[in-house]
Amino acid sequence: MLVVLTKPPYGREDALGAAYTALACAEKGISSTLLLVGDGVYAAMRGQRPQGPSIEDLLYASYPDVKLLVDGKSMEERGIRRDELVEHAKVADQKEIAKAAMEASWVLVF
Amino acid sequence: MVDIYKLLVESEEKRAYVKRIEIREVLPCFTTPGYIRFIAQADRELSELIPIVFLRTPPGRASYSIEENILTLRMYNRLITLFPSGKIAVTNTRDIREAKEITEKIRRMLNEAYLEYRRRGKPTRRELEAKAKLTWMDIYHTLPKLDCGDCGYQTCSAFAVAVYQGEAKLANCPHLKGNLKLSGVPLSSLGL
Amino acid sequence: MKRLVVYLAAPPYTSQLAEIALDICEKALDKGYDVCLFLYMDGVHLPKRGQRPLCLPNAERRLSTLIARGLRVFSCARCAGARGYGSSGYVHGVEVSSIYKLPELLKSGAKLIALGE
Repeated sequence: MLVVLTKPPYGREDALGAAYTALACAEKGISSTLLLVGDGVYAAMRGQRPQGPSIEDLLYASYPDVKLLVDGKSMEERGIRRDELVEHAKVADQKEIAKAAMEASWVLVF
Repeated sequence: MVDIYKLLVESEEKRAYVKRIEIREVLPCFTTPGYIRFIAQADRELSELIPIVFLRTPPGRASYSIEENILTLRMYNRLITLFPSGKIAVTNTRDIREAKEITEKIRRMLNEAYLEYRRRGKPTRRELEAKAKLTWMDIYHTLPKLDCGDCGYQTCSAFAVAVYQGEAKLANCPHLKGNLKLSGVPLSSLGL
Repeated sequence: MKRLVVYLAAPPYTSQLAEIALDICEKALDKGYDVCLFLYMDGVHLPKRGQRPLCLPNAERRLSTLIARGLRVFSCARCAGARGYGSSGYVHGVEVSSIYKLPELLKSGAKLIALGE
């Protein structure tokens, strides 16, 4: 299962929904990857301090069951450095993203 | 009357590298009764300790990413992941009370690893790679292959698998030759 | 029987996505598929009882018709609860479940069509 997140966290429910869906699939034995592209890359930033549930904590808690990929191009556009992201994020290039999409049996886009 | 036990515990606590691990509960979408994952934060960075913990853990119970220095342990019937920043992720936990118990066990494990770190220093990349490549077959090849049963297992291969999974110690085999190595690294450095 | 899971994360009326999801469900039922509609986030508004749209087709009525034809509808409890849907807010025939239902439905080799914005 490939879950793609294109929206940033907290402004909308999508980041929470995407992270939960990827985790639920993984817990039920479906190998899952969460791919952050566009504004979705903000979901993987370290140091989040929300009042409610923290997406950062959810991403950490999902390791190693959910593979976390972050689009390198989107990071560059937004001036985000690798060390600003959660420790287990893998920065992916277009080839790796295409591979993840091809290998997935299903794709959900948030 | 001086409480010796209390003094010992207090002085151990003073020397402890990780003094506190704070739990931040993470609920899944819809809690299956009696099951949460949680995140905790140690009051110290763990980047130096993680390789030591990896070397000390039976190979079948540890999954280590050398590049990211992230270690996932399979113990206490759950997965425990240690991150360099001091974040700790734990699965399959019943409730907060159990989370606190597990966190305390992890804290002790980290402090023991710290003592070893003080003794031996930073592991080499070679040691880490040797441990990461280790299979139960490698352990089997160090055994005398007598199938004598003195270790408590019927065959050397069964014993090798048990050592790999952490259910037995290599030292239980009374017929081992000394100075066993794997990829040039002494097995004792690899936690076996 | 082949299974199709239609995933919907958008509410009715705001956009046509819910209507498209129901179109797909209907056609799949015509073809004899085992059709499951999984509602997530704002998609959980779809089965709300008492819808009275003035100019647009009534999504509640259409959904009820499809349920009577064998459409299985699942709604995420977390999302539904957040939006105030208890057991009485919905039309009959909707199973309020968890997100874990989605991988359960998919594991049998089902196909997935996802609609959301």
